Amino acid sequence: MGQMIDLNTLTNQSADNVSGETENESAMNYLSPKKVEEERVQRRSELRKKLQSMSTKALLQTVLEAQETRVATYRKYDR
Amino acid sequence: MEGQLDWKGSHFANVLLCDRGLDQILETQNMSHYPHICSEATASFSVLSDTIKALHNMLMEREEIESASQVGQLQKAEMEKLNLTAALHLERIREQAHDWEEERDGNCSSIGKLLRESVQSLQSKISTCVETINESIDEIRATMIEIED
Repeated sequence: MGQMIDLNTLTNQSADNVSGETENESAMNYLSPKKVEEERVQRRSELRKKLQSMSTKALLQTVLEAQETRVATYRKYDR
Repeated sequence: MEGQLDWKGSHFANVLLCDRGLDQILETQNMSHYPHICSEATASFSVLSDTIKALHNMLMEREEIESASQVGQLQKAEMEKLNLTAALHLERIREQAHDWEEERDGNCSSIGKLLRESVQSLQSKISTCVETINESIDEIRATMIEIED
């Protein structure tokens, strides 16, 4: 069985924060560039570790899948 | 079996993005939702850009120059498209606001024409970006076919 990277873990942290905190706490987190940057650095580090185990073909496949997600995001944002 | 990212399990974009778009906002004339939509879309695009850049860096480290170049070209075009799309949204909002003003006051000025031309110009530039993006995707697919399993 191949390795699966759960992007929910990598990307839903901010969404969880929004739903699980008071408005003030959420606003504070949202406004803290330091916290945002820390989370970003951590996310990059975790992602990098996982990408290292993937073949070049799998990396390119992931690019295409990310692209599909981007198109879906545009459909909601830009209509 | 190859390792892969679990995009299907990651429905973060669907969770983050509410079911409202610019057209609906302009139609209802309720602009209060727009900043919310923008911040949610920004968060989603930011995560996607980070992922693509990480993939690009990994390809560079492996000296997969051709593949890295294709991914880099794709990301560059996507960044440009996002900037143009944001500009288009602002211009459409201006155009709509101007139309409302004209309708209310019964005036007709050349500003409306300029705004419509600006919207068309941005839409044309976005179309060019989309062509570049599609070419990059085709190149990536072709490269994948060349790579042996």
